[in-house]
Amino acid sequence: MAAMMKSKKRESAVIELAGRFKKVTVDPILDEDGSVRGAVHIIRDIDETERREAGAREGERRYRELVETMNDVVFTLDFDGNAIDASPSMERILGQPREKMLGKRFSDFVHPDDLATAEGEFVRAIQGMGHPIEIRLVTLDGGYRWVRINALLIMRDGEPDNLLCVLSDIHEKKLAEEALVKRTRDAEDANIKARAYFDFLAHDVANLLSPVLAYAELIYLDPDTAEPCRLKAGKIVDQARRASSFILSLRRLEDAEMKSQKEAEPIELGTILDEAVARVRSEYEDKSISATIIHPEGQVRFIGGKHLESIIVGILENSVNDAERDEIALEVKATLAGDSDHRSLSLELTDDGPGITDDLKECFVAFEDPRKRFEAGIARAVASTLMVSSAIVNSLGGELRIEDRIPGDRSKGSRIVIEFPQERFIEA
Amino acid sequence: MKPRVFVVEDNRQVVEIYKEILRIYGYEFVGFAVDGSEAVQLFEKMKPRPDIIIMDQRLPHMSGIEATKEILKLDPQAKVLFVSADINSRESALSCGARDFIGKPFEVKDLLARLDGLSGRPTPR
Repeated sequence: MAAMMKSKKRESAVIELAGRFKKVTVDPILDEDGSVRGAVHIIRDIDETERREAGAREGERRYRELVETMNDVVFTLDFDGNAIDASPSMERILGQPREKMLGKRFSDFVHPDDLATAEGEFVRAIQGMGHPIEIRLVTLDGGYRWVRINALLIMRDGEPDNLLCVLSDIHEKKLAEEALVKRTRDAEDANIKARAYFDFLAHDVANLLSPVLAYAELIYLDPDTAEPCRLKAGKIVDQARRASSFILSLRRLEDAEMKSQKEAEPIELGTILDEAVARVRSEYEDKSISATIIHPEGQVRFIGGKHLESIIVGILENSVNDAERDEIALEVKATLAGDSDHRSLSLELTDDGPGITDDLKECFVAFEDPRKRFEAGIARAVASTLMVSSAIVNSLGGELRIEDRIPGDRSKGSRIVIEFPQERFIEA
Repeated sequence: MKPRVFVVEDNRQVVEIYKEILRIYGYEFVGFAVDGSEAVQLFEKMKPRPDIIIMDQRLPHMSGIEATKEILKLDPQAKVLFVSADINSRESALSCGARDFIGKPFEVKDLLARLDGLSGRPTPR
């Protein structure tokens, strides 16, 4: 102030006085020889104006700093869609200097396939109804980059002023998503093809087996057939039955995998066990099958009961097929285990047949991963119905293991133990 | 009088075994069709109508399910025995009006039990 008072020119300054901004203007009073004789002070309270302008300057500074340093690109469009400002990071994304972008319409940078989306969003955004869109921008080298753009309508003094667009580079994420979608689609296609091949194979083999089985059976049943021929025909019938049973098991596996848990109908466990044993008996009317069925009476409904019935039928049929005699003893036992928080259902299917071969048993012991187990089974030529049943059990969330009926003596029969978690059954 | 059986099956070897089984076990084989639409046309012309129709599922031009529906429109009393390697077609076959279903490969005794059941013949075997 003292310096201002000595000045021969008009001076002004903004000072803060008693917490408010004041503008002080000092007009010197000069005498004839030009010396300062006095001064006229005008002090105006400019607190509101100063604060508003300071705020605006600070806002602009902070905005500029944000725009210059942020990874996301910020650009501003006028209401014709022309770029009037852009952050330097635009160069990183599009590969061209922002100066070249300024003044151009946004549509010059949008991938042709996404132009309709961009134009639509532009119209919505200038009405204040914008929402984020994901589109491709064309890069200088002729390629494209995926970006996510969120356009905000900026108001100034209560009037729409421009569109502030925040652009995020989502190219890598989008490519990863596209790759995942492609991999999933490829896997689904491969699965559909594999199912179709399997379906054709199973269908045609079943058709081819029909005359083999029926002719062999006709020879077997013909009273004029000589005994040696009848025995040979009987062996053909047995083998054709086993092949048929194996194909059926594979079909059941396919069916179990196709149907989700949601579609699976809960069925009372006792009914499942009874019907499974009845089916095996009806399939092998010429054999004498004694079966013991033990289960918690009326307490459990199994989710996906038809699949469980198929699993049990497949395993018991295997037992009957493998037993090279006409009298077979089977036991089907279901028990509940665990506390109220961790319940499990255990099924034991026991036979007094010839037992399970070491090769097959090894596959179950050596490979916990069902897929590897299955592959090993195929490699060792032991991919039996039991292997398929194990895969069906896995697809229902359970585990299957094999034991000797009498530990250490596999010749006395086998026991298949299947355990299902709580999610698979409902207790009364 | 022997029960009359009409066979709809596109595999000639399977048709042959049907003929053989029907001949041996006292049924009359009255003809066959190798696709669904041919089956419907032949069935429409048959006088008298067959007592039983053995129907395959996967057939050229018209499936066994569709052929069964068409045949039942012509004669709601027609007895269709579905015989298919496609076990998943069991429910749809029965719900469209087939009287019974048997999977392929079938055993002679199972086929005869169903034929006997549909024809009302006692099974002497």
